[in-house]
Parts: sequence; C-alpha cells; structure tokens
Amino acid sequence: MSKPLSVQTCKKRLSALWFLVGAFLFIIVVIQSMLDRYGDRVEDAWKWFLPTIMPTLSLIVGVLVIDIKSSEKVTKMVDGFLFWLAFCLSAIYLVIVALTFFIQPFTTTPLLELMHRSNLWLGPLQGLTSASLGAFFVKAESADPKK
Amino acid sequence: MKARRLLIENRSVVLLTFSMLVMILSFGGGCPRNTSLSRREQITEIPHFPWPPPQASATYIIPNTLIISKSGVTRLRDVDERITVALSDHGYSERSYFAVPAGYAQVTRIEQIEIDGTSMKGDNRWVQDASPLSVFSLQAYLKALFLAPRGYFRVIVFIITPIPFSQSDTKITREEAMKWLSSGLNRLPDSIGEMEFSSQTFTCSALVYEFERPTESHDPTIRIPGRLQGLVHLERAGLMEGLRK
Repeated sequence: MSKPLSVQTCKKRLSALWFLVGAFLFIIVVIQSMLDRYGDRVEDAWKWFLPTIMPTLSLIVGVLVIDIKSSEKVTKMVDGFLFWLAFCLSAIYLVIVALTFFIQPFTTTPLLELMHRSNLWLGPLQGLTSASLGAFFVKAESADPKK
Repeated sequence: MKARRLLIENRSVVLLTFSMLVMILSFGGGCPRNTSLSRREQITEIPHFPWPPPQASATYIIPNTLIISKSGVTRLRDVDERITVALSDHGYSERSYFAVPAGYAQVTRIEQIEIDGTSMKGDNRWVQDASPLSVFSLQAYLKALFLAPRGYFRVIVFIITPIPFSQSDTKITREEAMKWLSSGLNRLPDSIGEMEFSSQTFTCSALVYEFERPTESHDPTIRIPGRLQGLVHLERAGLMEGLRK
C-alpha cells in the first residue's frame, strides 16, 4: 500500500499535466495550421489531434466542475499507487503524442502519415491511460475523509 | 507436248532459283546496306517525344550564336556536344534523346531545386522525397516543424528543330516526366547527328517543366505558368554560363 495522498493535490497535478502539455501541443498545431504546414489537409491533422487529447481533457474538466459545484470541504485521502499509475501513464502517453510532432523532422515519413501510423500504439495506450484516470477519480470520490 | 512441259518446268525452276538468290542478296548480311535506308530505319527506332510538346512551365529560345560552331558547318551532333558539355559541367550527367520532327529533343533527369531556381546542393538534388534533417540546428528544426517542406522539381527539355511549334494543352505529371529519362535513347543517333544545323532555320528551345509539392504529404504537380522565366531557370542552373563559354 502506497502512502495516501490528498485527493485535491492529486487532481491538481493530473490537471496541470494534461492542461499544460495539451495546451502546448494545441498551440503547436494552431501555429502549424496558420503557417500552412499541412497544406489543404489541415482537417486531417485536427481529426487526429483532437481525439488524441480531448476525451481525457473533457473527463478532467468534468471532475473539476463537479468539485467546484460540490459544497463538501473535507480533505479526502487516496491511495498513492493509483495516482502515480495514472500520472505516469498520462505522462508517457503525452510524451508519445508530442514525439509524433517532434520526431518527424528527422524522418522521411510525412507528418500526416506518421500521425495516422501512431494510432497503432496511441490507441491502446490511450485506453490504459483513460482507465487508470477513471479508476483514480472513482476511488477519489469514494475515499474516506482525512481523520 | 511432253518436251514443251519439261521446258516450262525447267524455266520455273530457274526463275524460282533466281528469285531466291535475289532475296538472299537483298536481306543477307553480305550485301552492303543502302545508307539512306539504314538512316531511315534508325530514325524510326528512335522514341518520339510527345508532339506538340506538353505544356511547359517556362520556355526560352537559346540564341543560335551560343550553339553554332565558330568555323565550318554545324551539325546537330555539334549542337548536342555543346549542350551536353554545358549540362555535364553543372552536374547533369543523365540525359536521354528523342526524335522530334526534323530534329531531336534532349531531356535532363528530374532534379530538386531551391525556391530561387538554383539546383539543390548535394545528393538531395536527385532525391524525390522530402529530406530529413541531417545536421541539427535550432533554426532548421523549427523550420521543419512549423513550415511545410515544399519541394520544387525541374526537368529541362532542349528541342532542336527547324519546325515552329506550339505546346499542347496536355499537363504532364511528375511520373511521366521521370519516365522520359528511361524511355529515351542514351545518345544522339548518328542519323540525326549528321543533319546540318542551319542557323537560318533551326532553333534550340529550352522547355522547363517545373513541379511543386506543397507538403511532403502531397504529390508534386506541374506549375503552369512557372514561378520563374525560362532564361532565369537556365541561368540559375548554370547552363547559360556553360553555353557562353
């Protein structure tokens, strides 16, 4: 059993990771689109990018909104293992998403083709990451208040 | 009656033998070939360049003063030699030849060019795909990350003929232009090379076919009209300098 952690702290860390990296990648795709990096196939790039990060970001936003609406002020504690599993899987997933952009200049594979190909490994990884995040949030909701 | 039939049969045998002898002498290796027939045969064996030529991105008529011999009669092989030397001096080592009405066409291998029309340096000049970063620099990396790796490609076709021509409406693809190199002859046939180049009637036209690839995910398409004029292409390729020597 890992050391218990504050649910609020864990949520903030996960949100920060997803929002910072997500925003960074979002800005990159926006700049690429504005500079015509994808030519007339800009839609293909967004069709790949949005489903890659939006489902998880939506989940996190949903949890944060529920927290804000909630009047409960007690500090809950959650098992550290679940948090670190969700955090590490999220970090690995986001790094691999970012690699798709940053490694392309060193390859001969066109960026859109690399995006398409990356679905092979990003799909299962996204499933695992979402599952671990879901497990963490469910556990966090049912956690006992701090004694 | 019998004697007459025998005589007719003997005549038939003699005629048959004679005609076979004539046939053997006509087609046999021992008989020297008629030179004009040989030339005509050679010409028909030469692959023909699409005529009228497909629509080009840019054209330029090279002044005859740059390609005629300083002394004596200029033949098409002299013109070819002059163009070939200029091409070789600037890295165009692969060419192919086609027949055109009363002349010939010389096609260069497709090359990748910079946006200003100069030939790309190094091996990337002959590469068709977008090249990855070979040496890391932050500027080059950011450029590759944010800007589309546009590609510009060029094929130059020299057409030497006394016959005025226009261009057809056909727009060729890069693949078709690439096939020209392998479908043409490796050298100018003697039958065409022997023809006299009259500066009064002959012209040497350079047709530039320029292709542009907007991103590495797109197929290159021909640019009509091209970004640059024909003379600019030839100058930036170094060919005009070679012809002026």
